[in-house]
Amino acid sequence: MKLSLAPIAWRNLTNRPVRTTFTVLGIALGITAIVSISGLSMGLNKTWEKSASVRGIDIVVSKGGGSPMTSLIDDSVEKKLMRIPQVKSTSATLLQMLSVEEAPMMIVSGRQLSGFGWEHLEIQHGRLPANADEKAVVLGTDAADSLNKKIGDMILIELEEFEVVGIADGGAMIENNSILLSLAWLQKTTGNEGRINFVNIRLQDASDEAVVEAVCQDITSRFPKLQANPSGKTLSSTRSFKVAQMGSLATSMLALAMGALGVMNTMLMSVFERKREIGILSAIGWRRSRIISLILLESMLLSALGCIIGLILGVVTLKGIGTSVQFKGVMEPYMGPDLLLAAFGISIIVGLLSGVYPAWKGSGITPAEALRSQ
Amino acid sequence: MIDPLNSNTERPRWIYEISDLCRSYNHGKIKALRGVNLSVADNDFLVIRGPSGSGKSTLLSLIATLEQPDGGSIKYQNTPFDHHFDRIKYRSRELGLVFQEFHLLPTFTALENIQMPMLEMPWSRAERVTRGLELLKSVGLEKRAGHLPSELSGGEKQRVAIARALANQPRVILADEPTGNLDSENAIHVMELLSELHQREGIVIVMVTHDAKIASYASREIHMMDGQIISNEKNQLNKA
Repeated sequence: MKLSLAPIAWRNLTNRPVRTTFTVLGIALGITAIVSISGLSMGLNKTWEKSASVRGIDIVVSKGGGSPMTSLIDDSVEKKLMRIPQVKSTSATLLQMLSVEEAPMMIVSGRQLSGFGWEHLEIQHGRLPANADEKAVVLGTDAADSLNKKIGDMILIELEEFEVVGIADGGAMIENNSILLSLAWLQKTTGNEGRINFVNIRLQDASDEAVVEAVCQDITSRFPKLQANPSGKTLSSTRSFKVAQMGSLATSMLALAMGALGVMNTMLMSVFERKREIGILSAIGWRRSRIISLILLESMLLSALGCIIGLILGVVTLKGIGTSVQFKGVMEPYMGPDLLLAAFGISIIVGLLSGVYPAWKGSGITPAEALRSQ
Repeated sequence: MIDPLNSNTERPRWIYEISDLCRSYNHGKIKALRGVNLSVADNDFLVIRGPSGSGKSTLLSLIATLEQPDGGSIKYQNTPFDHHFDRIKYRSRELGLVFQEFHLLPTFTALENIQMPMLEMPWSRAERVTRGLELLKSVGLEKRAGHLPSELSGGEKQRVAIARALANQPRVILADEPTGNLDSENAIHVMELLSELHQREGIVIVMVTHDAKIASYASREIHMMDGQIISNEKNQLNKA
């Protein structure tokens, strides 16, 4: 072996394979938690952003506080919002997560036929509902596949049967996994007459973010019980999302902190066990900084190894979640390079910090004391 | 200061000048050194003898800067071991240390152990490997380069330790009972090696031993008792 600090550090770790393996697994679990939990929350946010983007939504108005999915508002508000000068068009929407036939959870979206909520759809087969009274649905392409439906089939939603009149490409995962029907019919079917979750708004000019923010503030000042957010921030600005995000962040950090304590414990044990070796290195002229570097390098190597395994486990977990029955079509877990790089960076910092105390202890060992120890 | 060499007409050049050196342990209860005075010339092969607990290993440890004295001073080539003195540079570039217990790193091969001190030198990896192999050859262990310490005999381990001590071309070798764990045959090999290094390379050797036969390799011998030097004699070089 050509000797330098990194191979020495590697040798020291591989000399105690069982302990190294368990320490690495501790860090790996922390990183898995960070990647999977952050990947889920970022994925959820991005999936909804994309869905809003393809529909050309500038502002989403929903009930203030709580989750827009479960909080309902009166649909009369849509007409009031239309009167705001900067508003170009609106689309009232009732969105429900329902068990439909064999599918345990489907997004069922009731949209005003007069609103812009249907404009972006590229009809693959069939047509849109002819009018708000027609008992008809349009399926997103993936929803049609998962429900195994074609034009002319009937579909049972709650206690009502609807005819599949169209299959459309909505340009986004949520759209393609949705069942779309007229707002009036979904309100009636789910017992939510006069109720909606969202009013989606298009502005006359949304090119300036400051203008969009100003309109949002204008809406919330006119309707204090409502919240208005730029489409990209709809989900992330809700209180329930923030609470969930904080909870998941705390869980991830706790898992990572436990991993970090594992690394620190391993490195401390290693330093005490190798007291004599460290004393020998000091006696033969190794500088304190070199001994510190060696211990920190070992600590960072442990973390980096844990991180690599954690990243793999995290990605596998996210892929598993993304294809699970509960999440398929609702959200696409995010596994972008920024998330993976951030996780890697965090693990290196954790490794560095976990190694500081053991390195300080190790470098303080006096050679005479170490050489006398048996 | 007991120093028979001062009687020479030609004034020797001192590599170490030690004055009133004191060292105690256990909060002063154990006095290991009680005011030791000693000078070591730059052509010395000095042996420190004495019974267990006489303070000879403590003296060597202080000369090696492995621990600090409670009082007195040590000068190396006229430079005192004060807080300006770069102990690490001194240990890595001026000293080679050889211990009774060998103190090789157990998970590194003979060649790797020899390269350890070289990491402090501005040498490339290739230079370190080449020098390591040369040193192994010089101690007759070129075929054991890839062996771990556990795969070497006691004599071989000590020869690797001597090769490691020579890694950075030191001016001085400090050896603490280097033959203490060796059989007589291996002890002779190790002493011949140290003797050759002293004569051929001009390396100053300060060695602790309690073995009179081993001490006969040295050019000078001091005896210690209860933390003090009780005799300081020049030897006839009559190898055992």
